[in-house]
Amino acid sequence: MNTGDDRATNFAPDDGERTMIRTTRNRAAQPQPRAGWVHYLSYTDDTGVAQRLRMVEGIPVRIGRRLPCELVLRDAEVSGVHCELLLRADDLMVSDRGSTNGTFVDGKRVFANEPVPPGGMLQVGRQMLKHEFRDEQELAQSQELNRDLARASHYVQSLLPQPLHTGSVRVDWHFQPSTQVGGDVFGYHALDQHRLVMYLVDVSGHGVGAAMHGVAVLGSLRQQTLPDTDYGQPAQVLERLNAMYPMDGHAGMFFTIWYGVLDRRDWTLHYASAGHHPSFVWSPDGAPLQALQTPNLVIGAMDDVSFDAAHAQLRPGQKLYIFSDGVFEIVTREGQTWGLPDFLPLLGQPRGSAHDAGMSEPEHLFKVVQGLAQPGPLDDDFSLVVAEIL
Amino acid sequence: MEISLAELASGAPCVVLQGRLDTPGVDRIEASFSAAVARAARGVAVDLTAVSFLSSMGVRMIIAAAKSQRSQGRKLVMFGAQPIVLQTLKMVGLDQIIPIAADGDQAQALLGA
Repeated sequence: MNTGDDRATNFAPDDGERTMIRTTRNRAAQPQPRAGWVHYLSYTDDTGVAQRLRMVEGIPVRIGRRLPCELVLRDAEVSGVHCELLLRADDLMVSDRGSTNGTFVDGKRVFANEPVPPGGMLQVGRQMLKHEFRDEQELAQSQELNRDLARASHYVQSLLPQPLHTGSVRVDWHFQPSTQVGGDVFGYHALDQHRLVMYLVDVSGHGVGAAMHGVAVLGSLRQQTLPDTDYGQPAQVLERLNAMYPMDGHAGMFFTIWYGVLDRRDWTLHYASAGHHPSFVWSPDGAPLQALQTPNLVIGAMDDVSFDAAHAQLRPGQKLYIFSDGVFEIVTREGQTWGLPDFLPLLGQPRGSAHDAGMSEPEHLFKVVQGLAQPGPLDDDFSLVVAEIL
Repeated sequence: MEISLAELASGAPCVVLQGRLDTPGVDRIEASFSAAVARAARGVAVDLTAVSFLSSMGVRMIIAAAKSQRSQGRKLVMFGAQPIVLQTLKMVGLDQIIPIAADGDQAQALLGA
């Protein structure tokens, strides 16, 4: 819209031969170049490490499974040379290079010279790459924060026990932290020469606060530091935990827990859970899965509640699956939201030709779930413990 | 997530929640929710009919309200929970500390008792 602010340059009467050039202060909105802002592609590489590739004006970046691509992604669903990106004057454009499975921007398939807007998600095979356009200094700060989160996550992982491969019980586990530090912790240890204690805790919420709370609770269990507590009595352990970790004293956090004591002399399992879905016993004879759960309030919610425990009789050949809800609360590639009943049929399945001889069952189950889930990292911590009675 | 105030047929205060009780939803209404519950002179009913999802943040919000009611000797009753929300409430054991009624009439009866 012209106002009195018009400044005309090279103005001459319009004789049909010359072009009128006008400059105005009120130009229609054009994004001013932001000093210090840089374009990036952020993604997670095949080892689970967050990466950030800086895009440079005019320099094309090819994405694919092999060289000569500038960005190599090891994913069977990515073509050799899958697509190409080019940054021109703050516009990031992508072209598919004849890939088998297609290139997608924010869920829509693209072919030639399509924009990837700032904040937009580029999908190549099972990989999600985000176009970030941001201030370089602010990015450095957020990277420092992410390093702290990674340190917290590594600390939690350093507290997890070694797989148990000796004696009459074999225990394996798989843990995949979510992108945000989650609140899952778990462990097992010998209570005495006869009894094995196993536990899994899920703290409400995410972030370093939840992780710190989880670490404190894990310490109470691993080191057996709860006062005046018989760790062979699950109900008592839950009661003491409830007294030790009230919500109000711990930033409003509560947690769910599954706790079990397995006696190797007679294979009795004494267990209690609070606010947690059941653990399951799989039998080799094809009997239906046995759900082990006790209806108790989440830990830390209220002072004056009591906790109930229960018993189960296990036998050699059976397997006990203990896991957090991050294992089954996924959204599949078809957009279907999973629940516990969707995950259960996967338990105890023979692995056949796909079985990697070195892979434990928990790790195999993780790969299966990850393969079924929509592309991108899982939302919540994946914690799965499998105890097999040999 | 939206919050509004209503009344049961008996005149008892009723807090109506609508939408997803996830982290942003709880952030949005938590202060209003606590205030509405605290304002009720005696018992209060919480209408969950229009709540589609309940996360751990939502559970936390409800526990906090129940505790404050309890400390004042006042009742809190929930009703109308959808199957998926009811399942979550039972899983975390909230049904052990907060009565969960099927509908407004039952909630009213529980409050009146």
